Amino acid sequence: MNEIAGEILAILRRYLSEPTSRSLLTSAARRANVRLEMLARSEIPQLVQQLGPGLNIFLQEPEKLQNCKSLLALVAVENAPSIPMEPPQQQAESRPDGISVPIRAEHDVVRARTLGKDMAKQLGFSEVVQTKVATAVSELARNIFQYAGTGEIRIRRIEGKKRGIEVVARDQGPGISDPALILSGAYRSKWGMGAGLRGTKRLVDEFELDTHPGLGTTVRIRKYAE
Amino acid sequence: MVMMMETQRIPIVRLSGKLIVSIQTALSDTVVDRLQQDVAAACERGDARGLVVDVSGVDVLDSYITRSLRDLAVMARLMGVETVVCGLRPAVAMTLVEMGMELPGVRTALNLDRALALLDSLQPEGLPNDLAGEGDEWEGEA
Repeated sequence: MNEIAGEILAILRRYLSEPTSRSLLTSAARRANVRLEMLARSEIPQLVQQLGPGLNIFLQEPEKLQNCKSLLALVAVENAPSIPMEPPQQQAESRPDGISVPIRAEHDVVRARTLGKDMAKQLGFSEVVQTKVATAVSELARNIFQYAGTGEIRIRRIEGKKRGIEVVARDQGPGISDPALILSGAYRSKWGMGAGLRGTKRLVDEFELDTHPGLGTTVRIRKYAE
Repeated sequence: MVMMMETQRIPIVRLSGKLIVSIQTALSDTVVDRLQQDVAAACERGDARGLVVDVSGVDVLDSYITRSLRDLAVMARLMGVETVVCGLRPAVAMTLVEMGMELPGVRTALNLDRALALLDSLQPEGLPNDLAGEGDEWEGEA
């Protein structure tokens, strides 16, 4: 088994036992006609496709199943390009530049949060940084759900000199009329609206807020490995 | 895809005059809201003198959930049931501090054992609830 196959096994191991993961992986490799000793990234999609039926059987919880598949899809694109700040083009859910989680229901907030944590863990972040990333994702996803109704969270890994994780939260909601005021904390109480955004800002290394009243809000955050 | 839409419920265990809630699942807002209602109903029965909320199984506490936990504690307290939150993971505690949310006014303990001991020390046998608590601790919150 080479390094890439090892990455896939590591993801499966997060959700399944060692024997189950290995047997799923080897049988999927056989069906996909790929060799785990010399697996190439280009072969991952067909391998993941063959893993699908087995995962459907062994991973009963839809959320875990979805997260596992998203993480697997991500292994296929190691060096993804940066996510543009412009509005998203209509594309399929698994983009080459990261994982996209549509936020439409309250349940999606939990899903985005779990995925953020899973990805931070996969990148080898410490428990504390994992928790910070997951909390930040949770705040952003909740803001989308609460104030815009629907939107999208995109998570991707940052490779290069500094390894890290980037999260972009985007919605076409009402926007924030006075972002400076919200972020200053002068607005409402410690617990009111804005607490989430302020908290998020304090948790991450980079924070960009782009908001237009009536058009929507985009927040981009980055957290680097310590 | 069919999502599991029925609301999960967190069980409330009664043990020698105390209510024990152990959260072992990813907390969605609906689950937290449901818990608040269930705890209120459990407090209303009147035979509980304390409530312990064990969050050792919670890996993420964001601002909304933290506030909900605090509201839960305040609500129980208003009903005469003292609350102790216990088992906060180190990473969760560090994240809360960094965000500037420290669960003001909520008693906390390292683990379930200590939480139960703390409740016992707060309410000696035979003392009514309102004589056992300390009055001014909840006022400083902004």
